[in-house]
Amino acid sequence: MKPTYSFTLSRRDRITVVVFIFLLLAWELIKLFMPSPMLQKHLPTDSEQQTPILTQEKQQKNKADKPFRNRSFVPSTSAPENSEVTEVLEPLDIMQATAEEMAAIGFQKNTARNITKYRDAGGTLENKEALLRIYGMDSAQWNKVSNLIIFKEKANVAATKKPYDPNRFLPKRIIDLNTADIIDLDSLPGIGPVFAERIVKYRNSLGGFHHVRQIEACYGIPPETIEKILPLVAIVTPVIPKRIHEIDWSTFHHPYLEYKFRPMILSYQKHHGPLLSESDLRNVFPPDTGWCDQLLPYLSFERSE
Amino acid sequence: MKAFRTLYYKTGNNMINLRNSPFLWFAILLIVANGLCDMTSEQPFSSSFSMMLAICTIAGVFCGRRYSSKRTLWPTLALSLCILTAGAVRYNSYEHSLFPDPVLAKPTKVHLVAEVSKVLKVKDRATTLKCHLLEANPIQTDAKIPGDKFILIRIKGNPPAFLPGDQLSAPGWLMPIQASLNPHAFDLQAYYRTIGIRHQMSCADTAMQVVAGKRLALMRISAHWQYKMCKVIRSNTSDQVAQLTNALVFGERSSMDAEIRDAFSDAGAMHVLSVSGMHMAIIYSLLYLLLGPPGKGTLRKRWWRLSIYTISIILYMAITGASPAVVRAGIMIMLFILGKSMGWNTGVWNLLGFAAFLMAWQDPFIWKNIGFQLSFLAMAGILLYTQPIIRFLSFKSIVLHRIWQITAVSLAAQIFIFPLILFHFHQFPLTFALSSLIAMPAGYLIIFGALLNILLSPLSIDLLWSLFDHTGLLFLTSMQWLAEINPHMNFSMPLSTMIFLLAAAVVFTAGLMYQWTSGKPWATGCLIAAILSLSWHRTVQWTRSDLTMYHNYNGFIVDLFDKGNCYSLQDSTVSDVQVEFVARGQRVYRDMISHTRLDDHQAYARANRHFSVDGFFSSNLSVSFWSRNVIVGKKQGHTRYLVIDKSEEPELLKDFLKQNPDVFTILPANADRRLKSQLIDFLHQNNLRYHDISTAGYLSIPL
Repeated sequence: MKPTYSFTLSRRDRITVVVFIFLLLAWELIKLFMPSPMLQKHLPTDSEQQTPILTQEKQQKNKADKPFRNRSFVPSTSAPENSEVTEVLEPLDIMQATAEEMAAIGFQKNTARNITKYRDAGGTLENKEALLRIYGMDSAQWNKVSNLIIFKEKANVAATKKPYDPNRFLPKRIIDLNTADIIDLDSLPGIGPVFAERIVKYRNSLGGFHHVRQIEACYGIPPETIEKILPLVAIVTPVIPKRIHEIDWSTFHHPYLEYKFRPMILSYQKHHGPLLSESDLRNVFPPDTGWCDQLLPYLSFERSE
Repeated sequence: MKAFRTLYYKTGNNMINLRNSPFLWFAILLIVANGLCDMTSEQPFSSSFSMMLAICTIAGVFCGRRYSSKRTLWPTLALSLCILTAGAVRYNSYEHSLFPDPVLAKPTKVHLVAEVSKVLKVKDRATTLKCHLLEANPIQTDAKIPGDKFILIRIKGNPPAFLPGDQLSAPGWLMPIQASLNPHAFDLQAYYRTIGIRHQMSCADTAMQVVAGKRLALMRISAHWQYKMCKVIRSNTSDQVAQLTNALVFGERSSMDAEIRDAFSDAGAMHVLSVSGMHMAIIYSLLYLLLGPPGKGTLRKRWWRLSIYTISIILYMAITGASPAVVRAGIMIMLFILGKSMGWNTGVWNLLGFAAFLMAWQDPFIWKNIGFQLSFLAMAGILLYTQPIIRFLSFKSIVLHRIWQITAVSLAAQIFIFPLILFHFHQFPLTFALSSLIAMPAGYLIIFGALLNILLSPLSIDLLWSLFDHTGLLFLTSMQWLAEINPHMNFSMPLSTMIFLLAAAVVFTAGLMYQWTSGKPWATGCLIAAILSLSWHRTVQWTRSDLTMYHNYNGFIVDLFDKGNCYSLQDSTVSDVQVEFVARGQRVYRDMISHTRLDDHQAYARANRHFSVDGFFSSNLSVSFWSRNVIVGKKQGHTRYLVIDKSEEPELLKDFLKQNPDVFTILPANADRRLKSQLIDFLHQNNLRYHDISTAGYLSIPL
């Protein structure tokens, strides 16, 4: 026999549930009918009147020097989370502005304090990069204040202060990119053993660098690090190009030779004979010969004796 | 025992039983095992844990040996013990994999490399990411860095948009996530622990280096697609409609205005903005319209249809971020479609149980997730109570009948989730039925319209965008209107009341389902106990008086609770949002009748008590602010507290403290750091009492 079961809410169940829900609601709404609190008028301590239960012991010597005048408990308008500058403000000289002025235009208080401390210690803020290096400064604040600040050198130190040279403490040894080993490359600022190994690996796959900017293609090295090390590296030992007629194109691998070009080259050779000159190479896949320009420094069209 | 046996064998013939819904029971057992392990916090392979494992294994074997075809009780017990044991083992191994080492004792400067797992929040000047920790090297110290699987990274500034799989490298201070330092405030430590995070690090966007991740990772592809589709919506609709559509269709809520969120929350339609089972059901119904029923046609056609359904549902789950509610619905729908395609029996309770079992096994912390709890409890309520509620009323008009059906679904969903909503969110929107009535068809239109417009946009067909925009604006306006007519609630419900209410719902349902005659009286008893516990809680809170000083770095906030009313003072630098975060939990827990914020010219006075900007003064206690310069002189039996946040003359302050050693010093969190460190040294040297709110948390002084 098929099992039977009933799942229905009887009238009594429904009434119980509805009454209970009303009870819970009433529990909360009852607060609306409670008497509201009575507040007294209060005279702040600026005035001469004192309430009877208070005994004041004045610690301040001079009433006029009362601190924290701007401390306020005013509830009329709460401070917005992101206060926007609505009035037109004149641009500030970042080297002259006070912390309060900087806070008024949109800097955070801590950041404004750090900027003044940095200036007082002799630092100069000449551009955006210098400002972004200040502790607590971030790009959101920069976006807010970039139109409201101007960079000028400090008047009393501008004449005597030399421009900041980030490399002034670094040794002036120039490293040959084509012969340097991992230890030599590790000594460069911002280059550690991992990046050094990558540079060496990339160099070996290319067959040597013919321009210092080629290290930008190394995986993972940030652009700032590249800019930092460029003055310290050079190409001294030239690349030894490979003779084109000695290359077996079916097995030749080079980072600048895309996979799709190899069958094209083989097909060209089949129909037109071996590649003997630069123009033969450019004929393989016109009009895009950009790949040629990259590869040519690694190829030689001289015939061996 | 006899009563249990009778109940056990009787349940075999009823709606939900072990034969037709085995996975439901397995899921319940697994969640119970996870809960027990969480409460006991046993370490894997400790002596008590090993003893528990041994007992369960022996009992399981014993029960298994008692099997006979006529008796099913012993095998049931054996299987239950096995599930409990397996759940405990899984919980412990999962916890160990997430948190292999003890928590960091103090903040440590590190350089770390991490891979983005999920973008949690994107705000104006801060981005919060959940990341896999790949490498963490301490800087200028040899502290041991814990090998946690996940870490929270907060990036200040305007970093580029992140996608899962991106690797970032940055220096910063690694520190454990602190427990809340305010009473009854949202516990960030507990919340982050449920998603596997114990530590956090902050860094500036300028100090960070980012490397793009592997292109072919599924989460990355789906996040990329979500980003692209949200961009299409943003460029073709008004700002508010774009935010609504992106949240409703793609689950992208990180850039949503608080205004829209509050409107939906107050109107009782917040579930529309969180991608959940309702959205999955809408997607299924759209697919149903396009592809037809899953069980129709030849086997080959059914397989094709099944593949398209499954791929679409998985893609939608991935694009919307795979929240627990969406995953639950997705698993259920896929299994349902599979069953229909194959001609198998598709018991919905078994599907629900299987989804819960799978999710609880994969993530043993998930039972603590409020989304998981609400999703399953709402589904249970809908499955059990929709038909009985529909049967209350009947209409001849099909339109009215459909409206009543939708309303019945909303009512049924509330049965089990009502206590949780009141407990966690302290409010219950009274217009939830009406808002659901509007939200469900509007949801259909928004999802359908968005997907259609996105498909047509590559073909440069933009005719429907303006109609879509108008629909969205109408929906928003209706929600805002409903939000305005709802009274603002701060329902204070203690944990005991929530448990009694939930128990009442469960026991009542069990009584109906298994024809258990004692069920309804027990449920009524639970309701009465809930009312009594609520009354007790209110009596206690309204008869207590205290002064609470909160922990807040941006300004000083102090609340006086007296006779159920709350009077507060706060610095003008504190925003409403900060006050809400810091103080709302306590104010709600105290079941306050009213809240009044005092200004410079207002004071609260009752009996011998006086509270104003100058401080709090009574016959036996005074709390003064050093900056206000109103300090009670030394008196017998009178306790004096002094709040110090600023002092232009620290030497004067130190002299005062030396001359008045009875004064208890309070250092708020927003106090000047240099002054605070000087004072703390001074107070230590002179053996004077103090409370530093920034490290020790809030201070509550009973009156």
